Amino acid sequence: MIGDSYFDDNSHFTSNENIDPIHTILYTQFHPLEGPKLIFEFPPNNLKDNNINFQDIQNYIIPKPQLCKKLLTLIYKDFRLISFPMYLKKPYYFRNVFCFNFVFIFKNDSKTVPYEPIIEKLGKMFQILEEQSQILSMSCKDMIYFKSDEQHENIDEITNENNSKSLVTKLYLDLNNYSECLIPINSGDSIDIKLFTFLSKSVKTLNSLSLEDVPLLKLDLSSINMFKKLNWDQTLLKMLPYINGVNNIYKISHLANSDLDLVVEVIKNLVYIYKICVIVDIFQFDNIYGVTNRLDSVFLKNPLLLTECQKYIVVDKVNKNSEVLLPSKKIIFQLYNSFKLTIRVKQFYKENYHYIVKNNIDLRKFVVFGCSNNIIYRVMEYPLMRDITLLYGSNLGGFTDEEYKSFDFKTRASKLKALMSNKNSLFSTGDIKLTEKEDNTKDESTEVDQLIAPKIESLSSIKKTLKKLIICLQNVDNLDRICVILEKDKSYVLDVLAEIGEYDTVNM
Amino acid sequence: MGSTKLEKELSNNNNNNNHMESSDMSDGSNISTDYANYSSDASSIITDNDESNGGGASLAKSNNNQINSVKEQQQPQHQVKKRSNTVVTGTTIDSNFINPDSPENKIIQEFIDKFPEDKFHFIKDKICGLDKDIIAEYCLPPRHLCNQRFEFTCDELSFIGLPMASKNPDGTWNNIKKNKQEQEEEKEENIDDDFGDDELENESQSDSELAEIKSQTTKKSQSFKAQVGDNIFVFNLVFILDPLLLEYDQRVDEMYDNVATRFAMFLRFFQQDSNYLSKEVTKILEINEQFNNNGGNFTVYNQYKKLLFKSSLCRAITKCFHRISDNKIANLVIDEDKFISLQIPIRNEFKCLPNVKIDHILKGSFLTNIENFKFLSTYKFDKQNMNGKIDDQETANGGGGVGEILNYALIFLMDPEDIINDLNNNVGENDLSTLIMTDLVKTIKPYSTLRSYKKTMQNLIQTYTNESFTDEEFVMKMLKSFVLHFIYWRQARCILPISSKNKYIVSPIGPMTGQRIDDFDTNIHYSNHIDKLPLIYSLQMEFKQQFQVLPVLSTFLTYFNGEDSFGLHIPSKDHKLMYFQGVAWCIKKGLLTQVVTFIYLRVDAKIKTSVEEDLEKEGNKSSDNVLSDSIEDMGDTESLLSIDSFEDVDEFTIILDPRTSTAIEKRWLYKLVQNDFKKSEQKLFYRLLKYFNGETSIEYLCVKNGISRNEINQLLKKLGKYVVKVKHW
Repeated sequence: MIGDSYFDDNSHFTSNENIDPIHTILYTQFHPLEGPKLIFEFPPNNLKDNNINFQDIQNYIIPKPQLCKKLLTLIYKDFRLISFPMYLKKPYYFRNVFCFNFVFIFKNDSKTVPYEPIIEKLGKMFQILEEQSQILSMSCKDMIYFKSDEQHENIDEITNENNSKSLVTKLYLDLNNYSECLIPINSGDSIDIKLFTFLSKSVKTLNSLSLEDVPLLKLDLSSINMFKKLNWDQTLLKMLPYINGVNNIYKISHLANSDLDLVVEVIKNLVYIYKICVIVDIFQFDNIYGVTNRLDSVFLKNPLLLTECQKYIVVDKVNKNSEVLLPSKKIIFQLYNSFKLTIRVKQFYKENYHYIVKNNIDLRKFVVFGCSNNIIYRVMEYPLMRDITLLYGSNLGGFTDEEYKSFDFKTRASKLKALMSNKNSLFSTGDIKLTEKEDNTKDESTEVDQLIAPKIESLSSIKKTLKKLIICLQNVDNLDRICVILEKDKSYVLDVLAEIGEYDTVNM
Repeated sequence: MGSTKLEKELSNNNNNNNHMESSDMSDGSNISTDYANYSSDASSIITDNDESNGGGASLAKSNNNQINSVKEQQQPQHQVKKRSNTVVTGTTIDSNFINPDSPENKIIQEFIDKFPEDKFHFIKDKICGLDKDIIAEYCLPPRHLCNQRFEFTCDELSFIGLPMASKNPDGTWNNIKKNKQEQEEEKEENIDDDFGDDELENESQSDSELAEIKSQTTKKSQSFKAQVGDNIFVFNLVFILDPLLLEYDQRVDEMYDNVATRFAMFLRFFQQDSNYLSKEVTKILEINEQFNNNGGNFTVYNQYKKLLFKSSLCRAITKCFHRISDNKIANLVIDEDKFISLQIPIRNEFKCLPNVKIDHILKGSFLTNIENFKFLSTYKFDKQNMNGKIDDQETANGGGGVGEILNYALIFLMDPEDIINDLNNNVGENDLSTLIMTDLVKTIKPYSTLRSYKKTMQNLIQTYTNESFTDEEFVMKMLKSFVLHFIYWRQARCILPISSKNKYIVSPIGPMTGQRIDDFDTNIHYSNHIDKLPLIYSLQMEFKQQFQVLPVLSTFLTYFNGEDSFGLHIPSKDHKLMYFQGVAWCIKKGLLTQVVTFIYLRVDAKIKTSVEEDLEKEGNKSSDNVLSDSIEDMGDTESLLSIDSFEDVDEFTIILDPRTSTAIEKRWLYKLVQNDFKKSEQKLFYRLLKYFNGETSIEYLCVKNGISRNEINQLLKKLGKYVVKVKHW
């Protein structure tokens, strides 16, 4: 698990660490004679202690029917009141209606998004419970809520007169302490609410995450015990082991055997709703990085961040007993400052090999820390065609049928095939040496071998790749993304690109 | 709330407006135009609580049990649209008697254009599917919660505003005694603060009582007669937004800070000044009533047109809605001669590289440490203030950067013709300013600093006034105000002068993918037909047309790697101008970002020892103290690079900021140049020393102090290993 150590030292998960606590929970009803009424608040006296005047807020808490069954938020002084007021119309109620509302109060600056689906769910659950057994209206032991002539047989069944009170208390304590609550209501029903239970719909419209993006968790979710996770989203559970700061989204969906779109949805929730996930790029020796203004304006001047960095980027201990010396801060700064747009990681590694090894720096972690803290940034490579009619047709409105036919896929593919087999034969005779000399461990070199020297492809598969690549180019995808989509390595992609036409690789 | 201060502020606004009003009707700015997502569904309502009109849904604001009425003037909503083919006859009530060029007609025409009658069906008495009365009721907080931020959200709709309560308990707005203003202000503030305790209880009780009365009064609401003398106790100009959940805070804050508060304060001022709101509201009510009585014959649509024709308040609100939702600048006029200019600044300028993967920022935003918005921020609202209460004090150093502005060069973001068009379309513009600015648009190039246009300015003034201006300061102030105008209207930006020695990179937030600058989808969903090219390829086409001598844009961009001066790529002197123009074009499109160099100094053991020896030689006690003190200081901040290392004997210590360095550090720094440096070099060193803190780039230093880059480079070269260079934007 990477990503936990520098964001969060004691990497066990409690709600306080990433989700803002609830300030107060209120349970309110509309009293037929007295109007909006505060039945219970927890913690007790919190309204008064914080100068929250119920009279000021009552109209927003027990609102007009038109505003019921909607998620309402009111900013009142320094607080944010969120609720989902319910309005039940039944002939047996006094005035034929019963209104209730569980109101959650937060500090104004809290991140309340994770709570919103829960608050809505809670309202809806109690609507059903109330319809079934008048659990709320009867708990007050005050028959004022009903028409006098109605007889209720099950009035005796309600044993706990403080039903709503104990419920609010438990909600507050459990959600704040454990980010979950399981409250049995009666023999059949229970309230089972946890954060992470519901995926928020509000991120549906965001489509900025891409296949090649690598999610990196800021919290170690895997250390939370399974019992707590029972209720979590299934896709999240399946993919959790594979979110490690190395795998990209595409790979995660493969490894977890989950639908790609679902994986993206979950990641979006982790990123935007729970804010416990950052996105980094695929680490490759061919990458280019540049420094950002934060290198000196923040990193250099923030001893805490420097210390975090030291701890994070150090190589893993070989065995648990051996002590590894932390890299020096001076070296770290100097190393980050030597990233340039004109050099790739492999060259960077070569030039600084001495420092990196001597200081026990794990290069990948070093880069990941730099990127996720915005000290350095990944420079993306975009292949751009010089002649855009090659991508969009001569009138730039897309290929006409004729143009499409005349774009000779077959000839290009066979040329490519010749090129590939030529390269292959060179490979087998060993004329081409590994480009990455530093990686001279056996394992990696064989892996590279396989990548660069794929089995000789059929013409039709090359043609397919060509077509896919054109779509990527029309979309202005960067090389990372193209490689993931085509499932090919970079040099292969560049070969195919050259076959399509003249291009430039713009680094941005 | 200091009304004197406010008065000043407003009059400032007026002054600004005299020469800031320009691109109002234009569709020009290519940055601002199509970012419609920004606040597209914002609408504004004004609800106000008008004593003694009787009727309407109400919330009581005072202890007497009079019934208050609430009216709102609402903007048609996108959400309200329903397909409707009903064509209503007799719609042209206005056209007979309006001058087509009048401001009234322009707004009405725009309204008609944006909401064509046959496509929009306005539902009477509903806003976003909710009853007007309900909205009015919920948007009028109790009096003691006025004069502070109001924010209420109902599902995806958010209602925000700054509700204003009258200063005086009788519902009048004017200050009772003008000469006692100061005292009044103090009192006012006190009341605001501890309103909560005493008066609150009375009030809120009457509130709950009135909850009962409400249901009865709504029925009677048809019959009342509005009078000019009626008092408004509370009014609230409410903006309805439906921001994305994830952008919620940002959108709402922006709307509140930049538009809602300023508009509300503007209205309050003229309510205090001339009872403006009361008069307008009366007008609006009368018109509404006409259409109520004649219901059936006229449509809501006609009602709107009439309202827009008759009421400057309605016009201002409508225009505000149109402009702000188009991400433009709303220049509003009420009462024919009162101006306010509102805009939500577009966030297209970043000092820190945003996380483009997660945060959606406009493509082609500028990545630079030259923050143009700072030039404009002369005053701001203090957000830290309790409960978001507004505070219109001018910040002491608000305009801090303005004095420096002339050190920069100006690059126009729009075509000169468009800017000139904007200038000429202006109403009430100072003629001399317009003339000079028109010429400046043609003259100013981004290759030299604004200061260098002093002569040009003098000549221009002379041409147009036949008087020669020797007062240089006046001339430069004038130039500065023009430059600020251009920046305010998003027509230009300040950059470092373009030079062949500059280094650029392709901006990591440049316009590359996506079809629009606010298109954040990673996929373009082309079917067979390609309707719009991706940003970079549209730019490539445009570039090809404009610069036929230059290579293709994709190739041109590969020249910029942040390491080489871009002059290296200019093949010959004849090409120079064309290449400069190409770079300027790329900068204004946000494709290129200049890489500048920041300098820190560091000292090693040798220097430290040498200083130590000096101190020993001096041998007096005081210096011993200095030494021990500073070592302690170092432990906290400066020595961060000197601990933990296990290999370096000649350990370096980076001096983060020479201005705040300790005595011992200063000695180290002096030591650096004590020997081997010429007098002139030492002089330059001491002159520049304070800038070696990562805040000022050497590129700017050269421009500002008129030092040649060579001179600085030589000094840095001589300092050698004691220099740490950090290069970014």
